[in-house]
Amino acid sequence: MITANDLEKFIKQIPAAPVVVIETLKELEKEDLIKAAKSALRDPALISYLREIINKPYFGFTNDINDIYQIFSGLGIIRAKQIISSYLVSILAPKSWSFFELTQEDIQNMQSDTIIIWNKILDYKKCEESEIAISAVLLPAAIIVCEYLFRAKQEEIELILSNKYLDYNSLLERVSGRNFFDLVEIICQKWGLPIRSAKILKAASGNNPDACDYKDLVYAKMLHMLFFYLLVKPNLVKAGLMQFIEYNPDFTEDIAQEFIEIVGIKS
Amino acid sequence: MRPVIKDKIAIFYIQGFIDGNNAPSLITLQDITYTIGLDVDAVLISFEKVIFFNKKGLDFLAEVLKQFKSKMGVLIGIFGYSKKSYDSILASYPDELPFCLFDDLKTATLFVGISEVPRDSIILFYSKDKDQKNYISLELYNRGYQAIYVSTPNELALKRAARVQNPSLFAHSFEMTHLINHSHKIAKQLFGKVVVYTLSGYIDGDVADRFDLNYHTKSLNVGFKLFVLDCERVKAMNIHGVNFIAKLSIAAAEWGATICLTSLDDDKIQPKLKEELETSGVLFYPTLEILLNDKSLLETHGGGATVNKKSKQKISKNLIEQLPVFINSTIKSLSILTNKTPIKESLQMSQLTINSQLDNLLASSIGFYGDLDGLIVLVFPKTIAIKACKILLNNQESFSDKELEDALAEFVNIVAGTTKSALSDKGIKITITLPRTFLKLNELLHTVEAKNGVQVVMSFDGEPFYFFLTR
Repeated sequence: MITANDLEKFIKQIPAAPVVVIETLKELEKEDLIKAAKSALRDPALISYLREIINKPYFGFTNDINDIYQIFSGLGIIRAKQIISSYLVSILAPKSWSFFELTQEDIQNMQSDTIIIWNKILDYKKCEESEIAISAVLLPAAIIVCEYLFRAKQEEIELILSNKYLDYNSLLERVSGRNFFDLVEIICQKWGLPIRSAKILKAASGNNPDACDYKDLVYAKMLHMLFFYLLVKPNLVKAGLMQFIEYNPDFTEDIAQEFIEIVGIKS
Repeated sequence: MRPVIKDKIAIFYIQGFIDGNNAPSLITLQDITYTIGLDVDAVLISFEKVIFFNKKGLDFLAEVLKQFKSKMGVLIGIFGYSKKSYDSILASYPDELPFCLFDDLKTATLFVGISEVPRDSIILFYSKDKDQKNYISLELYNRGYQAIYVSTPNELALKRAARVQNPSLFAHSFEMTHLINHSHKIAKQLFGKVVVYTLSGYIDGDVADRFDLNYHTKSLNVGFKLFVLDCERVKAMNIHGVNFIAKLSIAAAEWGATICLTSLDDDKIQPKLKEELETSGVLFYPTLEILLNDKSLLETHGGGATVNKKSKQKISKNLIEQLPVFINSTIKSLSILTNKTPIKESLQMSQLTINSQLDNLLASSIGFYGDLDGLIVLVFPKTIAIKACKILLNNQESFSDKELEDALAEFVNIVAGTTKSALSDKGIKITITLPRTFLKLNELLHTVEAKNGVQVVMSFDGEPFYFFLTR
């Protein structure tokens, strides 16, 4: 099974964030959209990613936007930081998946769905904090980490789980002392992404509410529900994501109805 | 997703948002085929972690459950829903519910599978449906419980509050349970080393259909020696019922096991038929309580005091040929769970010989049958048991004996599962029985006494660990 050594090896192999992305984020931190756009120009993959996301209907642009300065201007500081952080997570994703039956397209769609639904929630809550905006885009990172760690251990994991109902996150914690969200926090530290965002994600696992500040807990709860809402898509259920974490009804009891109303779920 | 099997019940633990689009991905055709091949008394779906469901999603799950009912003849149901969900489910099927509803898993086990709630316990319940009230009362009675109906939810709430101060008031209660017709398997419970079947009504030829012969055979396989058919709720028994029980008794004798009948008063059976049962080796006791207090009976039937044909069966050549598979599966399972590998120290053909202090040792056993049949026994110090089961015990520092027993059962299941998989790769098919655990080694030694087999002593973290394979 997975050992603490396996985790250390994985952590050492986490690639550094591309320089262009780091510099773009630094400019956004200084709230300079023009310089950020100029920096982003040096990474065609980043431009392509930004174009893909911003031209989704949610962002409300009637015509496609391709000009990088217009993209940054249209997004604003907070959304630009959010989507660039999402781009960083997308770089981490493997070219092919085996533990989860996912494709690159599935992950890209999951990322854009996460951004759209999360921003709907933040608009409703009138939240304009970039760290909270970024927390949701880290969710796919936890799934990507699970893929890397579990892909060579599929048989062993199936053996343990055939006799016991346990989610993957809890299994990793039991065998190694750390879970996927702990590892995402380490990735954030390496990449210079906000630790507050990683802590909100950690609390969003459902079994660690003390991981984030009390004032961020409502967002952690919303993020917990968001993960399961994403699994309404049959391809993600088929991929095996339903067993990634365990839903904690007690954790979300006070916000469940609000979440259902915000995302517009009807019976 | 595959169901988790616990105490003869297959459970699908679904979670999240369930609608008509994603429900078919939750329980796929392969999952359905796999489940149909299981030997269980019920298939249930847990709604404990379902956030939201719509009618289309529920309809799909209902169709899946109906498939299990028609192909397996099992009880089907859903449990663990909120009050709001309960009302919503009932409203979705105003004419007839296609599946049972249970407040929780513990309530479900009152009606199917193997319940931890002891026989004769008081069960309080409320139901707003008069037909359900009668049906539930009868079912609980037939399964050996004392059912008390409470007329309002408020009254139930008051009684539950009172129970906090006085837990002996009743053993369990429920208020959102709804039963549908299903073929009733005879209730079974474990009382330590004794398997108790609760008979009710008229015992005639159809008792064979309602008796879980698979479970009975597996129990014999893993070393249970005393089986009781309690007749307190029986109205009468005819020759067909007697013939069935006589056959059970004769078959049990081959295993050195005994069938007992309790509370079979003279007015329930003709004297001649009773004599026939006595001739076939059945013992009679006035009540179950008297039997369970008969220390000498329990000691001689704690596991194999009588040497018999079955225990004299030698370990077969076919089994010996696959010995490496069994040993490697055990080593692999322990390695997976602990990240440490045990080392083989010695191997011998003998009876089980333990060279350590017995009071520090725990054991678990599991039987198998099919292309090969036998019994795997694992004996280890408590310290190793805890290390092996650490993941299964959630790394807890302290746990009850029951938690440790459950974890040991899961561990030996993992060993058996690994073995089954490895043998299957070689074209050898086996079926695994329910595991048994022994927190006191003397109980195990009674079971395997005089059995010859292969004993492998391994060392793990400097302590001995015994693997014993026998028939």
